[in-house]
Amino acid sequence: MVIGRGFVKRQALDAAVLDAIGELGPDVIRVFYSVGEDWTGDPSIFFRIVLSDGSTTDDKLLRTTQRVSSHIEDRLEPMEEWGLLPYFDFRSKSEQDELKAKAWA
Amino acid sequence: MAFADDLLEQAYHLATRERRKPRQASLRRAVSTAYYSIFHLLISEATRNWKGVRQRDALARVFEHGKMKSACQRKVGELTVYLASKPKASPKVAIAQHLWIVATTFIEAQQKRHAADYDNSRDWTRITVMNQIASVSNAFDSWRVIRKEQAPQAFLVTLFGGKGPGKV
Repeated sequence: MVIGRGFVKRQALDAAVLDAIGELGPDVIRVFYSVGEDWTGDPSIFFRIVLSDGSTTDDKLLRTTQRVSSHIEDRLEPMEEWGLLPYFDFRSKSEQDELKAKAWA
Repeated sequence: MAFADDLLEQAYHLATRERRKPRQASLRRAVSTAYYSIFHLLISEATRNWKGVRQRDALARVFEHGKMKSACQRKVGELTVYLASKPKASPKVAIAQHLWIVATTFIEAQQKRHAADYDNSRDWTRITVMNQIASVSNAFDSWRVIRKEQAPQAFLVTLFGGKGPGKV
């Protein structure tokens, strides 16, 4: 089994993620993440990102999510620097308010 | 690509069929179907290079999800390094960018498909699912731009699971 550096150096990863999610702008309400394995057992980082309702309309959704994920990937370099395959999940603030999912709050 | 296109359209239909409160079953099937649309897109593109039309369906069964993911990971790694070197704008760079989109979307879609099919603890939302479908649709568009180029064609061969052309 391959162990990503992100598993081993968790504190450093926390700091790097904090740095990477800076300057994401008002579209992004919250960013959570966890480290684990994907379905094939590869070390991975799973981002859960709550977006403003205004940024998730049909005409803006993909543009917003591409901008946010590119921003994080460019700064964090999850695969190159941490050996972690990045995955992104997005939901809107109103969806999270309704669901109140703990992993997203 | 008709079957892949139909699957993508079906994913959208599933994600939007309940206007107010989407059922988890609809959202989960939409995520799964979106993955299978890009899975079949790439397989159909790879097998259409096989001259014997009658053998294409049998050839399509050779593809494996895990091996296709591994091939996509290798390609993403390679293209990320190339694009990070900030090469001057050119057709080669544009092809690399489109291929990066296709490969990353495949990896992401496959992971989400696995969660949608097997993880009962997870709540899906319409935004999550619509974003996934939009990403896959965007990858279809990227593929259509580059599908006849040499690098994407070589990428298709790697999806079988062996080493890439020219690699030992």
